[in-house]
Amino acid sequence: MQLRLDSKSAARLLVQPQRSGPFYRVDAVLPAGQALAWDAAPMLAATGLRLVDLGFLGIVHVAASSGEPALLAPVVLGAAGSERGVATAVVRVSVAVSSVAWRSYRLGTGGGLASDWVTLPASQLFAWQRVAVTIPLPVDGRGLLVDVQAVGADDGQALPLLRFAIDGARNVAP
Amino acid sequence: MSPHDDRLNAQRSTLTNALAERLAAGDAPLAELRDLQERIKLLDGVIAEQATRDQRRITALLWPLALVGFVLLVAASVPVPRVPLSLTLKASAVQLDLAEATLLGPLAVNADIRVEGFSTLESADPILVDAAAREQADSVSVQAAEMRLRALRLPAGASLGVEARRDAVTLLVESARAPVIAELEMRGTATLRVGDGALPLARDYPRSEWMRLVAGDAAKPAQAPPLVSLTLARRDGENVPLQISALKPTRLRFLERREGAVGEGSALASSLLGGTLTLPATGQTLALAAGDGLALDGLRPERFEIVAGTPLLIELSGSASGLRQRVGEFERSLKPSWLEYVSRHHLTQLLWGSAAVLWGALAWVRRQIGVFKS
Repeated sequence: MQLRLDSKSAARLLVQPQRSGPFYRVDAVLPAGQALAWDAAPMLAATGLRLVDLGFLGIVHVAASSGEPALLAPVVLGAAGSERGVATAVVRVSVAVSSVAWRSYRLGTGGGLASDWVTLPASQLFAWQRVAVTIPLPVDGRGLLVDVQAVGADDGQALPLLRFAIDGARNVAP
Repeated sequence: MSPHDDRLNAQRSTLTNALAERLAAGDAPLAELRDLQERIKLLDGVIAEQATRDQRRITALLWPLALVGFVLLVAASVPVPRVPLSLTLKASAVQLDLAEATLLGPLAVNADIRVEGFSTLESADPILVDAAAREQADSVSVQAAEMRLRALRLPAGASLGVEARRDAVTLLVESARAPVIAELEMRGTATLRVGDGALPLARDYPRSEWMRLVAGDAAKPAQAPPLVSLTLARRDGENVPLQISALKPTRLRFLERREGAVGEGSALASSLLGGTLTLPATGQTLALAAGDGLALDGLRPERFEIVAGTPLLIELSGSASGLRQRVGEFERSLKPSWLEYVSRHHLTQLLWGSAAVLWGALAWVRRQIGVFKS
């Protein structure tokens, strides 16, 4: 299997099952513009996991002391030249929530021009339940900022926003 | 003086008298006089040598006692470098020095917020960004159904002041380095005033909206930003205190500025309203009265919490390298001496150690006395 980044920066690759068990984790450095060959078959055979159970995350940098959101890079599985389509972010809530919504806007705009909030269907979740957010990526290869908002099931109060940025191969530095 | 010395002195006195008598008689042979004189000289030499030896022995007897005394004096005078402490107090204001870069929040504040001193406003709401740019705003006031201080980011070396008033809590940030960043989140129907001269903006955020207020230029960290203040105004009938924890202050002061009479200006005064300071090192528990001065330096807190209501409730446990109390003009260090510390914490070892030292000193004295007698 070939893993590569949709980013012009190197990233730390994190591979983890999107299930509670078995615990398995891969950490590697994924260089920009280079594919990483990874034979997952032995691990899948040993753990009983399926390839679709795995989550792939490219971390360009985590949230800095300046408060900038973490910059993540989509990890593309397969041959080079695949079409840039969507990124799937899997979000896990730490408390029960009544709804989860998200929105996005272009990286480097200093905020503004945000899309409308999209409430995820069936997003009434128990604590530690996961939900997938399918985020269309800009076709021009630029990056995105994403806000994810959830409302607590107990008190109806909004939880702190989860904010992260998705890098792009033709992103312009903010 | 020993009997041996007495005998020598008596002998010398007898010889001196005999020499004087024989000289006065005028008929004593010169050989006899010389004999007496020679005996006196011999006795003088022996007495002088004996006196020197006695002096040395007395000195030798004294130095172990002097050494023990000196060690005790030093131990009683020199304070321990750090003192463990536990502090619970009420105050109207506190100033914290934060040596490390610090993140405060997220905090649900349940209050109206006013922020002053920032230079850049960022938000996903373009109306706010435009208003801030148009007004060149350095202040913003927000009233919303739900408010959260998402983060207050302070660079290393910043000073944070927390002041409690009847109707509001104010956080004051002074930093020599940039940037100082306040991030807010609001939800529901909101009224915002971006800049002091602007008209209020009515906004509706059925989902959350964020606002990032940056003081100073992150690209020029050595350039000090202006003083940043966050005022969290309580709503009518609500008094939900703000809970501030996870801070690691290295220095605490309890001061507030009080306005004097007209024309007198303002003066700094103690903001302490009372409290209890416990020093486990000495087993002391000190009651702090309103108006007392208290200064803590070189703090290493294990637990530090501020419940920012009216007044502030502060709980601290950890250790400090400097701890001073001031009552009126009288200021004193509350750090115990090594002797107090050891006597409190190592009582058994201290007793055995003292016994061993005293036994050694006495054995030395006895031996010297024995030599002296012989």
